[in-house]
Amino acid sequence: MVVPARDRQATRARFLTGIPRRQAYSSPPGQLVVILVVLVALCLGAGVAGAFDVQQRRAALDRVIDRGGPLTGAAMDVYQSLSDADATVAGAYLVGDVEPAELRDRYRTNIAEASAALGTASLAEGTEADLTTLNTHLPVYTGLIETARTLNRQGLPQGVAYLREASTVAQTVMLPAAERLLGQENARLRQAQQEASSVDPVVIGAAVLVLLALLAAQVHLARTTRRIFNAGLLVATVCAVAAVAWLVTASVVAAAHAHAGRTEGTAQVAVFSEVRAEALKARCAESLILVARGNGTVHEADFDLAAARLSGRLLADAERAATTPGTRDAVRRAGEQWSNWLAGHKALREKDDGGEFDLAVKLATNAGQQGGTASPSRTVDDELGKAIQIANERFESESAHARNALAFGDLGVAVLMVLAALGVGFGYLPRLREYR
Amino acid sequence: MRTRKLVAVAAALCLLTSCGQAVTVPARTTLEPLRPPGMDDTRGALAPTQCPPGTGPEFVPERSSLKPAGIAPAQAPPGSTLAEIVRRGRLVAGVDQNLNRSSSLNPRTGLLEGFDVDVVKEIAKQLFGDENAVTLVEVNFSNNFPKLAAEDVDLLADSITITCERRFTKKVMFSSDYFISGQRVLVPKTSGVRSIEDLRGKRVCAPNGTTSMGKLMEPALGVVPVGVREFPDCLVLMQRGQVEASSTTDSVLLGLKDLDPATVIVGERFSEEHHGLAMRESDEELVRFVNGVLERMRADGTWKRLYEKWLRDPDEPGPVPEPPPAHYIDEE
Repeated sequence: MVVPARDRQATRARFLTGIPRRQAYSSPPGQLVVILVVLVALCLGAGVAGAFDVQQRRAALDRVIDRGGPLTGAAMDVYQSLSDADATVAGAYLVGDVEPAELRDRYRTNIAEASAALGTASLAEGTEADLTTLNTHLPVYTGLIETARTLNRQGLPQGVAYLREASTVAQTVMLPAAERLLGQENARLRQAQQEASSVDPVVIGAAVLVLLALLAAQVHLARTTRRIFNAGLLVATVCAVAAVAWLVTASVVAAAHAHAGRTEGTAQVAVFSEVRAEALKARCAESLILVARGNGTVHEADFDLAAARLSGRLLADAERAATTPGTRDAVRRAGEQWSNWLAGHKALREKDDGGEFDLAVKLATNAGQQGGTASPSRTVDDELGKAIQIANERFESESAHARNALAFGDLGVAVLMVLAALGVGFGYLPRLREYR
Repeated sequence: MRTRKLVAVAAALCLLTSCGQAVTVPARTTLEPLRPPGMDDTRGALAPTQCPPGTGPEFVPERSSLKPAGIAPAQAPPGSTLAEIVRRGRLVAGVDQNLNRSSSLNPRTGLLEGFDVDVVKEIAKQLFGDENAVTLVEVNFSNNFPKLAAEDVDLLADSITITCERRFTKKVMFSSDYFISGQRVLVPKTSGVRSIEDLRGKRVCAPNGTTSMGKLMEPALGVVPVGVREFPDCLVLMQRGQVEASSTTDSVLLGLKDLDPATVIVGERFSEEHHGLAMRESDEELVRFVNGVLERMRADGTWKRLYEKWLRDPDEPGPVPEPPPAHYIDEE
């Protein structure tokens, strides 16, 4: 037999209050029971929704801090280390048959960093193809470099053929894969940051509904019982207001920090690292022009392209993006040194074109050489590295602040809303008892 | 009771949000063979173009230059390249940097060395009394003629084979024949290949734009030509098994063989190539002057000394060959 909805409701009400069925839905106690049930359900529902929302955003922040940040960092490390390794090794080749210990160490560190970062980056999902490309080509690349180095040590001119090929692998296969990887991680991080700094409108709706319902219930009760205040409902209202205040405050603070973590952190890191990668490309091309001697037309075009991108857009982007004093100084210094580098490059090209190859190599490799490119290019890289580090620290601290703001938010909202529900119960029970 | 339920729900939600990720084993991965920059195995535009019609039949490579005039460089007509060289006090020569023995970079010294380099130094010595009064600009077979045309260099000394096509379409004048070589084949010692005939259907490497590539593209040989930008790239491909052989003039193969003791030059020469220094065809005074230097080198034993130093195959004993005789189109 199908029980009509009204009957079912009445049955439930009778069960709760012990009042006979006929009275339950037609008399004030029945009405009160219905109001009580609705209010309690609203409080608990809003509590669950609020707690769930806070938890979701904390989970998003966890993704930002524990996954997005490190994975983006790893992808960036892969890219930076590889381009730096390639630039370093090309520079080292220019020096002669035995490369300077400093450059060898730099290459070694770069390869170690790239491998370690690849290990971390492989925890990401949806990037398998690019990771496989990088993982399979890294040993090939280092193999070619070691072959070039061995031949070079033996004084065999074939080394340069292997070096050229290694660089081609790095520039046409590995770095594009690393770039895609970085792009993907960056997009994912941006998404997680957005999720962390938004509040679900359903939650806001539920909060408003609860407050309105509590208010309405008190007005109704005041009219029907001629008592202006009901202690239980007052407690419930205070708890609900406290819960909403907590939720809103925590959300606003967390959103502000998460937003700052984006704009003053990762967004800047993305801009700076793009500039740095381009500078490394230019450095590598510059070395390869000299390594390839007269056959470096391709590399000359590469350098000119990188230089045009740096002078035309990237450095200006970086200056705009640098909003904190530390990053602003670093980017300014990098920009100044870039001008010196360009001037040095021009001098170097003139020497090389004029057949004074030895002098051109000195300008490119000897950090002590006045008007050369070795020291400005190093400074550009170092300063951009500094800016990246500052922005990265900013991201980490802001994200941590955001997570702290949401700490216990879910528990707090849940407990307060349970208290509100209890308050509603205690507020109505005496009224119901009056009907006994 | 309700509170406990809530806790249970919350706990369930926690579990749901941090569920484990499935791990997939990557499909079998293969690595694409690496390609040196500029590698071309598509069989197109690799060979030098043909001799323009109407210029061919009477062209004899070893008899295509102008006879030495015996004028001193200082009396060169003003405005000529020779006069400009004298004015600037340096000769600017385009040489290869990847032709071991002919001209290549010695990684130990950072200097270019080889037969071509020494020939250029002889010219500088005769011009200025100083063999180092020369600026070496590095070129390869993809950019040498454009660099000469653009006046980036005064002359090219990168083991260029004298051909009708180069003489007329590149608008260059060659010096007299400064050495002869022929195309042969370099293979791994273990390959069992004994001549070009054994390489039918096999991949054979040569740099683009060379006469060697032109020869490899002749259908009669039946090989699969693979073009690269630099000569050592052929050796790299061969060392990795991406080509079965490299084929070019034996003077170049000799240089490649030095770099890899596991290779051997096999078969007879299947071409005879005369080599010349290339200059712009308008620079007649310079051509005549260079030919004068070559005459002296032939006569005073310099040529033989340099040939023995750089281009003699240690595995093929016998007397050092005589320098190729000089013939000129304007001789009686």
